[in-house]
Amino acid sequence: MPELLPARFAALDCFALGWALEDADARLRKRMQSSMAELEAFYHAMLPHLEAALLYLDEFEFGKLPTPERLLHWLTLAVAEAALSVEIYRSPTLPMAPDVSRFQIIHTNMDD
Amino acid sequence: MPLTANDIAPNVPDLGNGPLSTEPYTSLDYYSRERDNIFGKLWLNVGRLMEIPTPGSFVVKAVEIRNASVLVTHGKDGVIRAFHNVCSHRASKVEWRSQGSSSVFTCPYHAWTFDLEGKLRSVPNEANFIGLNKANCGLTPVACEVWKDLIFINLDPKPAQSLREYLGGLATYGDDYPFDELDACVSLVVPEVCCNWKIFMDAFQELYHINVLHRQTLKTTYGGRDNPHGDPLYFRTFGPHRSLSFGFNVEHPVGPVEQMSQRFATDLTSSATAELNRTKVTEQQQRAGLNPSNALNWAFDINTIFPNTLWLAGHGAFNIHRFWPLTAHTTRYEATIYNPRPKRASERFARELRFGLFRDTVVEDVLNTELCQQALLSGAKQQVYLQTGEISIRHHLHAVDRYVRGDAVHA
Repeated sequence: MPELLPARFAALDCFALGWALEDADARLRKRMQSSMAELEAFYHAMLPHLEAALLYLDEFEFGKLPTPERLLHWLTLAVAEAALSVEIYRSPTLPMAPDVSRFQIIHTNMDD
Repeated sequence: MPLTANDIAPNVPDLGNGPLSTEPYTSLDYYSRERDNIFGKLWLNVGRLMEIPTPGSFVVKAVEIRNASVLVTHGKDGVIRAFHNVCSHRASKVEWRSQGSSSVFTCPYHAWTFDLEGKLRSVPNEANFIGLNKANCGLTPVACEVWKDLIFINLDPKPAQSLREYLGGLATYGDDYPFDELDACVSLVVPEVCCNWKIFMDAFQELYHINVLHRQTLKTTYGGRDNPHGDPLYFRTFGPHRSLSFGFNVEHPVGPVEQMSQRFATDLTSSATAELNRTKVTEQQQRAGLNPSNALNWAFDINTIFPNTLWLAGHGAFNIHRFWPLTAHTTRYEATIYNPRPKRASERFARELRFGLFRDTVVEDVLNTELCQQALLSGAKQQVYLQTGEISIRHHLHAVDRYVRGDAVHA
């Protein structure tokens, strides 16, 4: 049973399981493993709610988000990742970019 | 808007215009002289004070080209010190963790124990070491100095210059930069890039390649109708160090999510005026040094802290890139973006797209530079050509060469 987003964002619940990922590496891999159709479906579902979601989340103390709000926050980070493909690259992956196993991303204190 | 003489500071030495030898990128002999005359003699930036924030905290840094492991400690007396991470007993590596907090360092081989000041505190079965004088058996110190909150070490036992003397005009340029306000970080590490350290560093010292190599990622971010080839706005040198200013293309189109992330951002990506932008740092562009040409579309200054550190200074955000030679033909790369710590979820969101774009652009450079190195090693070409907009690369190769040839003991 997937965990649920805050009630007013219930329309996005169907994306929580696949896209509400805590780890930046996982979000990148999700983007690269998705088809363009999947990326566009997620992106276009999120876009009309994005501003409202950000303003809603800003009412909470950052770093102490309750679980539903934390899932929504991760969804906003995932749509930033998906937007790279939808708005800029027009592709899930980059032909010039080597395998992701070649590098590591280290978030030291961004999410404290 | 090609780079003209007006855009080059008067103090820049004549670096010539001709092609340059590929030898510095391929030669093992050249590399061994870089090891001795540059990485064995000059101040090297290894980290930031925020990595060792409290007395007792430590961090271990590798300088592979010198086979060195350096233990940097924050002493109980508040002093930052560095030591070779080598036990005085039989030369084992004392501290195996990469960072942490401790009042002593105990060698895992035979438990010789040292304190934060490097003094040898205890030796198991000490009575059996006939004539041992513990006072002479501390950790071997490494010269260590701090500028702003950047930690530098120098592997020369007797550095020819103080850090401040070595940095010269670059330190004056950066003295007012608010490093301490920008302490939230995300890092990208490529443990091994298969190219010479200078080849990879070159890719970060010009924007000529942006519209071409990065046509799918950065696109026209920096090069637009008024500056199609991404020419720098200004160039100046400080001895072997240098500063290069670049501007944004104000006509670069951005999509709805990217617009949203600009609106909620507090850093160099922000062009927004929204009242939501409550923590936007407004003073930094006014501070001394940055944007010397006072360009309205100024993006950032790419500053090279010679030999192997780049500091990209922008409004309310900066990056540090370090290029560590592993061998003549391989490099360890570490890059960190620093921002104000996010105070709200929207601010954290605003960082994500920009960091992803940075990450993906850098990995494009990885593949390309590895192909360059392979091509250079084939011997097909003996020279490379540089245009005026690539003056930073010319200056870097020039500065490296002066040290390699022994002409620049005091740059």
